[in-house]
Formats: sequence, structure tokens, C-alpha cells
Amino acid sequence: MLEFRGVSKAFNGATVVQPFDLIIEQGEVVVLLGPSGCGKTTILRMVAGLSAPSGGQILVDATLLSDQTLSAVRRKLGYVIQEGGLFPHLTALENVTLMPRHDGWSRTKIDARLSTLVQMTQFPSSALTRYPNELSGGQRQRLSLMRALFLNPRILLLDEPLGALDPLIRAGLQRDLNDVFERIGTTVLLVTHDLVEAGRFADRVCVMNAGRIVQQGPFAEILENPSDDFVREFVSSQVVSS
Amino acid sequence: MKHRSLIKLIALTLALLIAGLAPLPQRSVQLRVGSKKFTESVILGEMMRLLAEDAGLTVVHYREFGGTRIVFDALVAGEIDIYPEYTGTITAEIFAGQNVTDEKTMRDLLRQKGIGISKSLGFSDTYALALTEKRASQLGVSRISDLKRIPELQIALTHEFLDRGDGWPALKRRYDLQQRNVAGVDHDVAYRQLLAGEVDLIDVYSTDAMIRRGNLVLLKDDVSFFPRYDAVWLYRLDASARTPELQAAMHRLDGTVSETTMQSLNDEVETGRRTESQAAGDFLKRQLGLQVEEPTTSRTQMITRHILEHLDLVRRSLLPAIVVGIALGILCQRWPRSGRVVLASVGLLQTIPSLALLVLLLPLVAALGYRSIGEGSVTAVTALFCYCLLPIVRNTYTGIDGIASGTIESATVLGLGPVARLVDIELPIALPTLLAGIRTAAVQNVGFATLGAIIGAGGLGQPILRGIRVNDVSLILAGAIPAALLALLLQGAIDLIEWAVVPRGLKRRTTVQD
Repeated sequence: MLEFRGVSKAFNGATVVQPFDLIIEQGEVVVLLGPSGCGKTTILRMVAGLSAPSGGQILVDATLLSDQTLSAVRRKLGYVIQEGGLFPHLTALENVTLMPRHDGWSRTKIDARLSTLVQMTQFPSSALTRYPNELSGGQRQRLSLMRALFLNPRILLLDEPLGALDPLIRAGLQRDLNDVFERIGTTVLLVTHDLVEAGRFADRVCVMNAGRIVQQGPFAEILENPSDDFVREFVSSQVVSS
Repeated sequence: MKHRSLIKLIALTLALLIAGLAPLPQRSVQLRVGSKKFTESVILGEMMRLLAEDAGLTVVHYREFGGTRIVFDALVAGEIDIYPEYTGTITAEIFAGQNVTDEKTMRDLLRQKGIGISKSLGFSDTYALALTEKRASQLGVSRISDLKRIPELQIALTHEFLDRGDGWPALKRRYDLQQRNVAGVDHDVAYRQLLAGEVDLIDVYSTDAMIRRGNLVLLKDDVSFFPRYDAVWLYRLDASARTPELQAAMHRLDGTVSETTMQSLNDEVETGRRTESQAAGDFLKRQLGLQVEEPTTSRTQMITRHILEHLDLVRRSLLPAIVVGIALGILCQRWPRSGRVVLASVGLLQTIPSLALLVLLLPLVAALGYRSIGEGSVTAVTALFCYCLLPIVRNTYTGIDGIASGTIESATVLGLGPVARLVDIELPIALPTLLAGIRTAAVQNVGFATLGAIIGAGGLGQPILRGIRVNDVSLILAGAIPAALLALLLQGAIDLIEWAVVPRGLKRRTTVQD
């Protein structure tokens, strides 16, 4: 479970996220949808502890996020970003097993987990010995997802995970990602500006504009009943273009 | 498991530091002779070495490691025990401004510093004015005062003589000379111009080899303007008390070297017919019947020794600089504000001319009780260390700072702490840049290390300096070529390390289609 209580963020006096409350239930997939600069990525970064809220509280599984709890909370998080954030000096295998090795997992435990994840993310096992720069964009994102899932996170944070991919690859990965979400039942907070993606993944969509969540609800409801002009325009522009 | 990389890093750091700081075994030495960086001084130093060895002492001769100031300071600091000096230099340079006119005052001042002075070796190496024999007879001059008659004379003087307060300006005043055609040139150039008839008169040292070679006539200093530059030994009183053989060795040379003898010894060396050791040995054999058994060292042996000395300088400066430089680079990246100051300071260090840095460091190193001159000189090592820092610090900084923020943030959210992040992620990713910095530093270092010879630290600079002094191009090349090869070799070694340790993922960019 992930809970925001009056959370806000300001950079150098400019408010980028207005105070907001939000509760994401265990296993729920929530998509933060909005144009760039609306504050959606900032919210994700605050959960990951990469950026401290200017006001309010964030609770991860009922643990208040603070300097003291940060490292414990991060153990419950999986984090995937647009370019994958892979370690260029490590092979695919080394990338995904870095943390379990660091934590002293046994070889058998690592291997078991690895085969589950390879299968789940559809990552070609022949590519495990390759370095990130020897992988395709899609493979990189699958790898990044595998790395994020390895330690069984309670919450998965994804920041435009498909943003850098070609449309075709994107569609395939979207499907696989959705399967993964369904299989693991993890709480997911995903950030995107892509309406189709939101529709594909979300149990609940939070449409954001200028640091505010302007409408939230199931995808169909957003499409059918836009709460204001901004949402209507944002929705229709992408429906027409896609 | 968790700390494996950290343990590896600490082990590597310690290994570098130990390899860099470990001292080589030192020979125990009973007497350390010094000499200044000109032929005559080196020949005299060799004479002392041979005499002291003949008396059964273990002797080391720090050859040609500096000018008056450096060598005298080294004597006072106890880094050498004895070196040849000139009385005029003692009064005019060492005790400059103290108006030392008589021998007793000079002796007392030296004694206060724990320094003794020997009797004259038998010759005076004073300034003199010289003409070719032919020109002198044409003009009919034999004394300096004769010059008053010929104000149109063309004169070429060394810069030192031209600028010194007790040089040309004072001489001109004293003799009331009117010459205006006076140019400041290099000593060798002046000599060549004189032989070519382009100038009429130059300044020389009275024992210059060129006097003999070029049949030059020295003008008589008829009003005794020039102070006496009698060659003497300056030695530490404690050394002579400790080793009575030293006194005996010095006495054997009392009054034995005449001005013409010294001229011909200088000439033999500067024309390349003899090394300083050979010239000194032959003289001692002739004069004192000394049985000189000089093991003849071939040029290969000599160069091999200098290569080893050179590598030692590089090792002791580069390896610690790698450790310190990387540490500083990391600090700069972590605290950019102080980092700018550190980067600027390290950059500034690099702009200090090497000679100035060496001279600035000398007293500091000596004051700290380290060996400031000679073999294994801490001064040379420290200066080289300073020059190594900039490329290493800068490349460590840019290497780490240039890592994509997404990569670092991913590592952070994965749960890697600051140390694990540095050791497992940042340093390995920055490795190619870091190695490039080390390579630059290493190649520069090999070049700079030749300057160690200026303060007697040995290395391949020694044959270069000596080659310049005695005008022997093959000797210069014998130092310069191995130095260049050494630099290439070191570069190759680092390339090899890079090839071995940098993972494929950091080497090439490949695009793969889905």
C-alpha cells in the first residue's frame, strides 16, 4: 500500500506539485497521466526517495518515508526508468543479480529466481552474457524490469518505461508488461504521457496538470466523462492522433 | 560478499602505496662528495672520490646536482660532506652582502655553520678577459688598462658577468672603460664569435678549456679588480672528525693542481676524449702515483643504471599520485564547491616551472629531515608527484561526474549505499577515463623525471645534462631515447591494463535491432 498525505513539492520557491492526498491499495495499478512538466515524475521520485517532499508525508506499507526509514523502504521498491538505468560495465546477468549477490543470496536461490524472471519478462536467456550496449532497446527495458523485480518488491515504480521505444516493440512490451503486473500482483505506480498506455495498464488513472491531480478514476470514466476542459483536450488530442 | 569490492579496492590502494613508497635498500656510505654542474667541479669531485676510496672509505659522489646555493645548502644540511668551491664565490655569493674581505672572517663564518675550508688546491678560477693571440698582438694589448685606448672594441659577455654587481659594470668603472659595443650572449656563442673574428673580447674563467683550445690570451688584471677564486674544499667539520681519512685525502691535493693542469683536464673532458673519472684518475696517477683501479663501466651499464634510477623516480611519484589523485578526484566530484578550489590548486601546481618547484621544495624537504638531493631525492619525487596530480584528479572527476544520472539513481533506489555505489558502480564506469588520466600522468612523468638530474636524483636526465655540458650529442641521445622508449612502454603497459580490465560494455557502442 502506498499513501500520500498532503504531499507537495517546490523547487526554488516554484511549486511543482500541489498538496495532494492519494491512497494506492495493495496490488492496484495506478497510472499518473499528464503532459511533461505536470509533476508526475516528481511524485515518483519522491516515493523513491530521490527527492524529498517539501510538505506532507508518504507512507509505504504503513512506514513513514524519512531519512531513517529510507533504506528499509527502498528494499520494498522496484524502479524502472525510461532509459533503463542499466549499469554499462556489467553484463545483463550481473545487472540483475547485483543486489541479490550483494545481499548474499545463494547461487541456487539466485538461479531459481532468475529463471522465473527470464520467463516472466520474456528476456532471451542467450542475451544474459551481453552488456547493455549490446542489447536492443526493448531487451534493455525487459532487463531493467527484471532487475527491479528480483528482490520481490512490494511496490513497482515505472517512469515512462516504454518512452524510448519504437511503436511496434512498444506494443509487444506493453502486452508482456501487463501480464507481469497481473502475475505478480504488486502495487504499481506508473508514469506516462501516453493515453493508450494508461488505458492498457491502469486500474485507476490520475490525470495531472500543472502539479495537480485534476481527475482520477477508471480509464473508461476518464474517456467518457472528462472533468474539465484540460482533460477533455488532453484525451481527445491523443485519441485523434492515435 | 557485501564488502568484496570494497576489500578489493582497499587492497589495491595499499598495494599501490606500498609499491610506491617502499624504499630501495640503501648502501651504507661513509663519505658523500658533491659537485656543481660544470665540468671542473665534477672532475674535482671525482678526484676526491678516488682519493677517499684509496683511503679505504665507501664513497658516493653526487655529481653536478646544482648551482652554488643548492650545493652549499646541501653541505650545511648534512646531505653531502664535502665539495669543491672557490674563495671568491664564498665571499661574493655565499656570504653576499656581509662584506667579507679577509680570510679569517670567512673561516669564522663557515665554522659557525659547522663547515671547514681546506688550503688552496693550487689554482684560481677567476674571471678574466680574453682575446685571440692574433688580435691581442694586432691591438697591442696585454693588460686590462690597455683597453682604455680602444673604445670601439667589440665585446661579447656572458649574461651572468654582464649583470653581476661585481662584474662588468664595476670593472668598467674601476678601469674607466668607454666601450659601448657590448652584447650579452651565451658562453659558447661568445667563444665561437671570438674565433670567427666577429668580436674582439670575451669573458672567460681562467681555467676554461677553450683558452687552451683557441690559443687565447688573458689580459692581466693590473689593478687587481677581480677577487681571488682559489679552489678549495668545503667540508663538514663533523665528517672530518668522524673520518680522519678525509683530512688526509684533502691534504694530498694541497697545491697540486695548477691553472694549466686544470685547463687541460677540462679540455680533455669537454672535447669528449676522457670522462671526468678518467681525467681525475689519470691526474692522480701522474701526480700522486695513485693506483686507480677504476672499474670501466660501459655505456650500456651506465644507461641501464640510469634507467633503473629513472623507473624508481617514476614509481615513487606516480603510484602514490594515483592513490591521492583518485581520492581527490572523488572528493571534488562529491563537494563541487571545494572541488573547484582543489582542481584550481592542482592546475596551478602544474604551471610552476619545474626548476622553480624543485628549488622551492628543496629547503622544505630538507627541513622535514628527508633526503632532498642525490639518489632517491624526496624533492624530485615530490615535484613529480605534484605534476602527476592534475590529469588524474581531473579525469577521476570528469569520469564520475559524466555518468548518466539515471544509472546512479537506479543504483541508489536498488539499495546500494554510498560506498557500494562508489566502489561497484561509479569507479568501474569511470575506469576508462580514469586510466586515460593515469596514462597522461605516466607519460608526462617519464619526461619530467629527466629533470631530477638537476638535483642529482639520477635518472636518464643525467646523461642528457652531461651531454649538454660536454657537448656530446650521442650522450644526450643515450638519455633521451631510452626516456622516450620508457614513456612508450609505460603507455603500452597501461593500454594493456585497460584492455584487460575494462569490460566490453564500456568499450564499444553497438546498436541491436529487436
